[in-house]
Amino acid sequence: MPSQIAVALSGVTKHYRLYASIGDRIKEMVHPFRRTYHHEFWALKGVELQIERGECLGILGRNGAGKSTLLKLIAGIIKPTAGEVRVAGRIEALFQLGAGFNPDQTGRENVEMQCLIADMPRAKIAGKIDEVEAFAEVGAYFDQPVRTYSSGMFMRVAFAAAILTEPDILIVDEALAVGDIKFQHKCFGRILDFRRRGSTVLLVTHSPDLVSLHCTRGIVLDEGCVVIDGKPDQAIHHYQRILYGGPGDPAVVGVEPAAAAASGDEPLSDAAGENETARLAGIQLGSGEDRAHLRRGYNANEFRYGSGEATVLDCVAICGGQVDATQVGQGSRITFLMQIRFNADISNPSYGIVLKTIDEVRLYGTMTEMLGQSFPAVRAGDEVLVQIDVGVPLPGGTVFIDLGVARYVGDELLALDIRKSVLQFTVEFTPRWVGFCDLAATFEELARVAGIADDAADTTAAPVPRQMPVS
Amino acid sequence: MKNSVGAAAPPPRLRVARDVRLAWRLAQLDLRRRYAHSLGGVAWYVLSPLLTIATYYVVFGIGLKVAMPSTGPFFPFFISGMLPWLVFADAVTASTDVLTRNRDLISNAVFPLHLLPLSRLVSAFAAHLAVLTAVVILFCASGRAPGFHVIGVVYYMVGLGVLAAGFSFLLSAVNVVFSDTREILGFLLPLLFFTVPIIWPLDLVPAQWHWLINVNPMAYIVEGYRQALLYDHPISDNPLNAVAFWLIAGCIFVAGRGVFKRLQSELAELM
Repeated sequence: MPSQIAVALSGVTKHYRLYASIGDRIKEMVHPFRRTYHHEFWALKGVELQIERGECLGILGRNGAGKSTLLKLIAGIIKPTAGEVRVAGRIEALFQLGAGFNPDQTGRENVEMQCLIADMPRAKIAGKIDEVEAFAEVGAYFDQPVRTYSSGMFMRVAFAAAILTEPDILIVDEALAVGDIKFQHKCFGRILDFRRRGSTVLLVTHSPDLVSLHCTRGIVLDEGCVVIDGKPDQAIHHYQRILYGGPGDPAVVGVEPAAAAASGDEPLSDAAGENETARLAGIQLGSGEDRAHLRRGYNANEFRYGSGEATVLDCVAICGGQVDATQVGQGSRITFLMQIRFNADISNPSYGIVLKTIDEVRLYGTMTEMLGQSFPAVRAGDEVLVQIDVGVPLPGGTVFIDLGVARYVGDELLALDIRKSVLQFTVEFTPRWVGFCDLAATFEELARVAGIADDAADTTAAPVPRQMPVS
Repeated sequence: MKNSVGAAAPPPRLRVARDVRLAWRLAQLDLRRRYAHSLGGVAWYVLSPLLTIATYYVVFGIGLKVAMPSTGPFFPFFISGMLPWLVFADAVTASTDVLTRNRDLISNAVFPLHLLPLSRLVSAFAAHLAVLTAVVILFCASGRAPGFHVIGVVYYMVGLGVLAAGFSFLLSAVNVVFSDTREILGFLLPLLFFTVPIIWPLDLVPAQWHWLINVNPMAYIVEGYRQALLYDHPISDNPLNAVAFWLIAGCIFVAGRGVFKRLQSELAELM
């Protein structure tokens, strides 16, 4: 195969034989008429996949979609039932916690083992172990048996060992999820280095953020098939569609627009009747019509998901008195209006906004829940107009906005209707600063010492700082 | 490159060198771990088999007065036969559960799995060498210094290694599917012990039945150790026994390795 291909799968199929008990397994082995006692589980069905060197492939999918099976096949732990897996180079794999390490051995001994398996020369091993110890930051635990580790500590050591033995292909299966954010950041820094050297990374995760931030390509597995293979955001969108279903699912929408208009609650009629901003912005409260696509800043490639218990009907950006602003000045404030119709009784609606760059880097995101603000319960058929004010201490460039409404079920956030990248605007570039956000630096000269001339008579005297008023 | 366990590893010649290093290190860690929390520490590797030997000696040599060999006192006779048996029992028992105890390693993509039972073998033999040295010193001190043909022990040790490796592969693999293996082994081994002429001399059996005893590969090893350590006999004065041993040991090794390899591909799914 061409040298730039790191991993190639052709027609890879995997099925597991599941037995109810070991007894069944033996019975099947010895049965004179080859009666089968197992049922088959098809984990993968005819997967075709080529991964080039230097790629970072994000693999998304629900539980049981076949992600782990795919990785285990690539890692060579299990063999395909049919098809072929070809791999060029040395693989390190970080699977579920505990895998690959001997729990009775200390962290140091386990890392040494990994180095020996990688056939590192003796002289290099000691240095590597020190490097891993420094990177993992588990302190004295490095010389304790691995079974005494917390999951976070384990992950630190396992990750450090995997990445520092410099494999050609690194497989990360959910492992990073247990680490703290700071360590995750450190890890991804390494992964980036790693990719620059031409190594390949395969990342399985449930977190679309990780995929959009770190991957060059994404695939989604569903029921053992690769259902999409493309850019990370395409994969994420598809994955979220699988997870949450499309917007406005007919099964959930229950209230007719007419009924919604008729219901007219007190706070609602306030907003509808007297809100000047809403009138100027052209919001038609009670219309029940989805009008967001008529807005100037509307992004036709928006991605929408949610349970359908609410519908975000309209989104407006207002800046400096201009409705549907698409150009905003650096440092100005923007007002967003979001018109929502509720299709079900919701006791704790939480409204949210995300601002992000064109490559899905989140600049800012929050929800009323996160801000400790709670909004009154709503009934099916209600329409609510929410106003959100944000500052834009942002660099020049295109900004995409997610707007939406969700609710908490226990600790879990359930999207009612979230419109990702529904609006976009451009922040004008004024070269007052560079970077991610305006930290409003101020400069002031506090002291100055006059330069001392070479022929000065007294060079031993300590120079006395003097206030130097600019004259 | 075709993907298999070790596909990403260095070329075969280097892989052997790597595997030797790895197995040795695994054995070291295994040795250290077994008595890690005891006061006696590494000394137990010599003490424990010597104490076992002493117990057997008291029971069978002094207490029960088993039929003595015609060639000399019981103790050196017994100890020279007991040594290879102890290492065999130790290696086979230790490697039976080596896979089930290291489930986590099996899902390690690149770990050369066959080194697990082998490392148990190496650690058992390392301890064996220490005990053997102690016994030779004991023999010298009691005026029974072994002669030139003690060198034959090396040959029998290799034979014992091949035999034990075969069983280790076989039993460690089978134990993954049938975890009863270890329990069964627990009563089979002592049973086997009494079929081998360790605490009783071969002359106890009528000559026409000797072949039945000698066909047991462990009998060949035990007799061999005895000939070399005690009687200063050259290696195998009966070539027929040697042929039988290598045939059987070879078959067990090939079968064990075969079963292990076949199971290896299924292990990750079983665990």
